[in-house]
Amino acid sequence: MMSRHFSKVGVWLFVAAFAWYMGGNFLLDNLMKEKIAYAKSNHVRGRYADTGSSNKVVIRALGGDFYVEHIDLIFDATVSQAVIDNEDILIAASTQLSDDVLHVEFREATAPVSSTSSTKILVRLPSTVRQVELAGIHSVNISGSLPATDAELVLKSLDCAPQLTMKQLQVNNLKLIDDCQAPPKQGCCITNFSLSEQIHVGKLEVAMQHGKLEYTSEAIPQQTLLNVSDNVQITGRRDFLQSLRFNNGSP
Amino acid sequence: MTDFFDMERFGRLLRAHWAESWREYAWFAGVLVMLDLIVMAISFGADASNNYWQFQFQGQSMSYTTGLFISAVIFAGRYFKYLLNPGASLIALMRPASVFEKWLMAFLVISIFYPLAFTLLYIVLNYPAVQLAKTLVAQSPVCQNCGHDFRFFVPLLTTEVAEKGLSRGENSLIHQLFFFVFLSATQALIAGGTVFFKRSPILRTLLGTFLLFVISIWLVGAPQLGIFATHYGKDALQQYSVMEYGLSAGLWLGVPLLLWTALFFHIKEREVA
Repeated sequence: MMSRHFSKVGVWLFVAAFAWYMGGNFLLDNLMKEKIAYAKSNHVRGRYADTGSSNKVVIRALGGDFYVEHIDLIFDATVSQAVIDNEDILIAASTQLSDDVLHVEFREATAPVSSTSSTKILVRLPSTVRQVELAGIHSVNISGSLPATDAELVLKSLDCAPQLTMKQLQVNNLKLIDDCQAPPKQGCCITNFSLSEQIHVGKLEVAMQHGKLEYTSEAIPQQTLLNVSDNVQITGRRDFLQSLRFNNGSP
Repeated sequence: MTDFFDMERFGRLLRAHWAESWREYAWFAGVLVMLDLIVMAISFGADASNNYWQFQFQGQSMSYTTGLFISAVIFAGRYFKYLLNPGASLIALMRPASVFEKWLMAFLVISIFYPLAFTLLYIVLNYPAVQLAKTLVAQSPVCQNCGHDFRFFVPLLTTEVAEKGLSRGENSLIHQLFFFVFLSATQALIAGGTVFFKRSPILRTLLGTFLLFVISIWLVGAPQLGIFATHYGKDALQQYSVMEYGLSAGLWLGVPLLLWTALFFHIKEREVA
């Protein structure tokens, strides 16, 4: 029966199509592997930048519809420079110090792949930094410590719908500001601030118009001052909710 | 008149096919319309909180390609179903037309006319639905400028790159072209199988396709799209080498070409048998 099948031109053409597919796929796969290896060898993973006398850092994604999915932001008392560790070959990082502000910028890099197995981006900042502005980044995990007793850290989100999660963060005064510039709308200008494990904050100030504030850490700030609208949903333990004070002035 | 191709004879063959099959095609279209209306009703009923994503540009593109792919493969699998019936099979195979004309008609009906008809049906049904979704979202009191993309998706005419100047090319022209080439190859594979196998053709074709898919994944991994892959970076397309262009075009044009040619010989060998 099989010999009868293979005496037919149609069967041989089908076999040729399959072989053509396998051969072409194999060659394209090898070419792609070479390109990925080349892209990886050209990718600059680590960047270092002096913050100088600056204590303000702007971290943003540049260009069209491009955004960075996630970064880990760590305040590290042991470093004196900003350190960017970018494993993602689809993203190019650069730093620039201008007007006493350190700009950490992410751009889309040209790469022969649509996704990479490693997309971890870590930004380590010295604990002398006092203000960080974030734009074009969907999700940020913030941790570390600013040990100075009078340290005040301002985290300002300029984005549409970011998720800022703080864990293992220690600072005397923490200000969280949602500064989304677009008009209030559904699906945009909704910021989520989440403070979960091991948060040690003396005074917490939050200013936001839309979104969620979630505080689940066991350590309660000595003072919490909120400047929020009715469109903000606040979640937390009873003792945290009891400690809240509301302020209708500007942040 | 030649034995290979005669325009007048081919026209008669097309008319005969239409006279025999229009009722079946009308039922097929009716089922598609019903399914589309049901999906649209579910989308309108359940998705208000998601701003009717199914009717936004990306959602339309996904609905169109999914609907066309699944229905076109089923259509290709049913085209030669008369071969299962000895009487109908004899009449069709003995019809005064050359093998090339029968093959050309199969190619035109399966790979050209069906996608065109589906596209027309999709436009007629979906255009009003997209406008309705756009109006509903605009009426939302808290959503004034959400950046929702309610442009109407028309294959090969609207692309993200052309319209928005975006660097990502999920919906670029080249990506859409690849979809149609891949669809044509799949249709040729299914149609070829249904002509080749005399008993349980659909089942055997699906089983054979699945086995070949598993073997190919095992041997060479996932299909490599080459220049047709979603490209990242504004200049990504320019960064492909001549070798990549040649290999990609050779692979993804060669496979459907070989499969459609194989179908020609399957029809010929079936007639001889």
